[in-house]
Amino acid sequence: MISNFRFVSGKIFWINVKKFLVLFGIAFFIFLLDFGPFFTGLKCLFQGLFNPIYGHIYQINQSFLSQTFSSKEAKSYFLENQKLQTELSRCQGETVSLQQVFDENKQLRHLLTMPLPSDLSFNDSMVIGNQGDCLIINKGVRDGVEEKQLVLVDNYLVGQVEKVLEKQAKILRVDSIRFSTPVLIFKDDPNCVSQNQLCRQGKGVTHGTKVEQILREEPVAEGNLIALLDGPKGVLVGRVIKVNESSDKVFLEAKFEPLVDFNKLTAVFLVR
Amino acid sequence: MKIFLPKRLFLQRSILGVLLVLSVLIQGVLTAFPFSLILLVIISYFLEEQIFSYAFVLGLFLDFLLGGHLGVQAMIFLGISFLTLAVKKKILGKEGEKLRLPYD
Repeated sequence: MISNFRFVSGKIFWINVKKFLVLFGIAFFIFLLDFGPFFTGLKCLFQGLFNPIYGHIYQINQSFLSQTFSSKEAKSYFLENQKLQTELSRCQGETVSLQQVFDENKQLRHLLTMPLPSDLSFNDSMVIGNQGDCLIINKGVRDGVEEKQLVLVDNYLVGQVEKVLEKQAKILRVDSIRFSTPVLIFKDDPNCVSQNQLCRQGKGVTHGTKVEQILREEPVAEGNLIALLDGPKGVLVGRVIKVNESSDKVFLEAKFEPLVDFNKLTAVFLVR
Repeated sequence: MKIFLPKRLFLQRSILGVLLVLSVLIQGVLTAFPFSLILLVIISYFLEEQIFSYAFVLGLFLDFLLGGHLGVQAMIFLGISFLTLAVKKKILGKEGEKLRLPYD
C-alpha cells in the first residue's frame, strides 16, 4: 500500500504517508487503550479543570449572547416573555396552594360530620408513598406519631402505624396479611336500631382480607359491615363479600373488601 | 530577506495554530458545528505535512473536551487532513503527480 503511494505521489508524499501512518497508529492505539481504565484518571482531571469553564461559558451564553446579538425589539420581547413567565409561575403556585387549602378544608369538614366519638382527636397527614402492603406518611416522631396508632380516612380504617421515623411513618394496611385485629360484624341496615332487634351478626379476627374464628351459629352474610372492636366505635374495616366454612370445619370465615381505595389516598388522619 | 522569512513563517503557523485551538474550543464548548474540521481542511492547504501533528494533538484535545472515546476525533482529523493533502497533490501538485482526468 505504501509503495503504491510512493509510485503515485512521489518522494514528498511518501514522507507524509509515513508520518500520517505513525500518528494514525498512535491515535488508534489510544482508542483501543481507552476501552480499558487507563485514561479514566486523566479524563476526570480534565473534566474537573474544564467543568467550571463550561459553567461560566454556559451562563454567558444564556444571559449575554441571547440578548446582545438580537434586535432591540426582540430583546424587549425576550424580557417581557421572561417577566410574563415569572408572573405565570407565581399565579400557578398560588392556584395550587388555594386548591390544596380547599381540599384540606373539605376533608376536615367531612371528618367533622362522621359518626365518630366526639372525644377523639386527630392528627392529619399526607400519604407520600406506597410500599408493598404499607403506606408512607409525612409525619413522624417529630409530630408526635406513635406506633400502633390507628389511621383513618373518614370513618374507614386504613391501617395501623407500624414504624415511626423522624419525619415519616410506615402504616400497615388493613388488608395486609400481617394485620390482625378483633372485629364485630353488623347488618348494613339503617332501620336495624328502630326495629328493636340485635344488629350484631357476629365477631371474629381479621387476618389479611379474611375474618376468621366466626362462630358457625352466627348469621354472618354477604354485605355485612365489619367494624373495629378494639378502638373507637363506628370505625369501619370493610364489607363482607363471601362467607364460607373454615378448613377445619369448626368456624366460619368471611372474606371482606376494604372500604378504602389505597391507591387514591392522599390524606389520612391519625387517631390520637 | 533570508532572516525575515522563517520569522514570517513562524508567525503564520502560530496564527494558524491558535486559530485551530480556538475552533476546537468553540466546537467543544459552545456548539456542535464542526468548525475545527472545516478549519483543518483549509489550513491543511497551507501547512501541508505539518498539519498531521496539529490534527493529532487537536483531535485528542477535542476528545477530552467532548468527553467521548479517546482517539476518535484524532483519527478523523488525521484522515481528513490526509485526504485533503492527497486531493491537493492530485489537483494542484506537480505535473507528474497530478491526477490524470479522462479529458486531459
